[in-house]
Amino acid sequence: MPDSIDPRDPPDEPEQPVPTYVWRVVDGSLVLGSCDEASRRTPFGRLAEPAAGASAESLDAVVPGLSKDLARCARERLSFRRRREYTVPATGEARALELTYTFAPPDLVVMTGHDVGARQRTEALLEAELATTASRLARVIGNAPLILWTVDTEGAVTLSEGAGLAALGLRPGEAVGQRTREQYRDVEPGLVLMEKALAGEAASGRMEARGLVLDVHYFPERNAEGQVVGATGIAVDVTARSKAEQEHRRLQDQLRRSAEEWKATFDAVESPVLMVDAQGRVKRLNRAALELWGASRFPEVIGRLLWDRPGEPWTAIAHAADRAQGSLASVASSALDEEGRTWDIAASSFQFPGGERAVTLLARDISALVALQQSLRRSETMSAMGALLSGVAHEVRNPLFGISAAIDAFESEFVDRLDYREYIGLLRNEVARLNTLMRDLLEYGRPAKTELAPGRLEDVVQRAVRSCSLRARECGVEVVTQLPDDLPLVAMESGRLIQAFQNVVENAIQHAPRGSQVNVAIAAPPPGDSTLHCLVSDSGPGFRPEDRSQVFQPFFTRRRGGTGLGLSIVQKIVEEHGGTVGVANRPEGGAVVTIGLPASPVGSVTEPA
Amino acid sequence: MPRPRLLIVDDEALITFSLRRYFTNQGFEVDCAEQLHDAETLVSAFRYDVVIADLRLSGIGGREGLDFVSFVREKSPAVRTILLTSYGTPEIEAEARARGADVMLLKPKPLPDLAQVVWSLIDLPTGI
Repeated sequence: MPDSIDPRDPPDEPEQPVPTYVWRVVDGSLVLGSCDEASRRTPFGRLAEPAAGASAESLDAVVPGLSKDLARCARERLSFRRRREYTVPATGEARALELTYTFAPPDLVVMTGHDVGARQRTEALLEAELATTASRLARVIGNAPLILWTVDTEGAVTLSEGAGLAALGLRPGEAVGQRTREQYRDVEPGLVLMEKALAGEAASGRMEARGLVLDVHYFPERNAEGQVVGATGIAVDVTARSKAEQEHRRLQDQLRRSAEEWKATFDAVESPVLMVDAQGRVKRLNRAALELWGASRFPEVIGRLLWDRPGEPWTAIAHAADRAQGSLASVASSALDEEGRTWDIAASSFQFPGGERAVTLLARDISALVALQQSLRRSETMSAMGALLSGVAHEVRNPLFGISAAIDAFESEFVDRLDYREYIGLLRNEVARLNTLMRDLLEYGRPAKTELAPGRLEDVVQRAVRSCSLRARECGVEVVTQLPDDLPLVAMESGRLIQAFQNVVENAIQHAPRGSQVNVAIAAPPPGDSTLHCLVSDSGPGFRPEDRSQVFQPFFTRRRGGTGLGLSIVQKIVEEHGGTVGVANRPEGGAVVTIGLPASPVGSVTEPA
Repeated sequence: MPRPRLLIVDDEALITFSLRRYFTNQGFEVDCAEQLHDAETLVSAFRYDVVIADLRLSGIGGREGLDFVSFVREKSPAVRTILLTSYGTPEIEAEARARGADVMLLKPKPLPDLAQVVWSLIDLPTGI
């Protein structure tokens, strides 16, 4: 239908006062008394152009039935409303008038009305527009992969749309009328959100519902007064995305754990390990390498050139890395660092699958190994030497005995020749010296025996002191002992230990001034310690500072006539017992030799050695 | 009273010489042998009171002295034996005792001490 009025134009004066015509009853018929200006602007007004005095019948030509309405109103003196239709002659357009008739005594009929044609058209168009919009909206919602619904204050579904419904097995609109509080109890989190929205608070959450993972958003629906009259829910199906996120997280965790395990393994290796790129820059290093570099945090070293780090073994490592670059064979070298550690360095080059080249380096601290080798060589030498010494000493003993026997025989034969006595005495002395030297050499070169049995250190000390008593008397020295009770036992080979103490006590006696004392005291181990200490002290000249470090060397002696093996033998025996021996000068003057021996873990106090 | 008879067995000439002179002065009748074979001949021919023998009679590793002790024990059980050696380990000592030696002494030993041991052996009643 041709539309001469654009519904988007405001309908004619819709807010203006309704056009009014006032009719007067004159001689049984109605005559137009007046009409207001608005009337003239209506389509009817423009058509009819009634002038004052025109009869109602004259308008019938325009609006059939108009005069009848007027007459009725005048006759029955009541107000009523009536719709009358008319046609616009020029266009043939059908319009309508919504007329209101009111009788105003004594003889007036007031007629007001408005042209509903335009409004109808507008309404019809709006309705059509709404319908179009509504259907478009429905299409949009229907295609959107979500679920859109509304509930009333009771929680009953009033709208249910969206392509997402298919995943729940619902058709659009099917759920309308469902009472969510009963039928959706299995989606508890969703009900919680709904109650919040119905209480006026928008709420969102992710939940699992009937096999799906949904992001649900709930909004309160408010009326014009602001009261909550329901709630709107929108749910987005994120099942696939959620699963993907979960998988992603799982893989990331796996990757992270894997990386952590590799890192832990890398760091657990006690030897420094590094990887450098083709330019010699550090790509990766483990904790041991970081510590060797002397840095505290990995970023301080990563990216640095090996050549940047001065000092050994880094210079050797840098050399090795350079030699290894591009070489198929691995490179080995060694270096000594500032602290005297020996490092064995291995470098080998490799290629990543992408073509990038790198060199891995491993440095091993072989100082202990080197020391062990040296010690082994030393002890092999010592063994060989010891065997040699023993052999020599044994062999020398025979001719020595021959000499001493000859001297004895000579003396007994010429016992009354006093002038020979001095010679015999001198010869005897020298032979005695040789015998002592042989005895000491044999002791020194003797391989260590390991059969130790628990014994009392007090007894050892007493026997050693007793065997020196003659010497002490000769030198005018008194030997005093301090032996506490209840000392723990010591694992020992008593004969040899007695000899060691004998050597020490004799040494002290020989250095002590005439008339002085030599003190031999055993101290019980302090709590937490299991070492017994025996101190032999004298008030002689003490040790010279320059001698302190050499005192235990074989053949070191300042005393004329000594073999120089005494203290080395003491050290050997004491060390074979797992103990220590040390020398020092006493603050009050004189020397003190301290022998420390470990208490035997087994054995009771009453068991003698 | 007849002089006590003593046999010295040692391969070192100086030792046999010195011991012979010394013990002769002490009043012994002294014979010497430097080899096992000679020692055995002498023991078979004469009756000695005491025999002093060295462990080694043939150089390093020799233990002829022990064999000699066994020989004497068998041939003349009444003869007292002293093993005098510079290699007196406890093991040698045990072996010597097992073979019937009376005493093992270590070189070097002052001769007066050695003499004391010899005299004490002679004073022992035989048969013990």
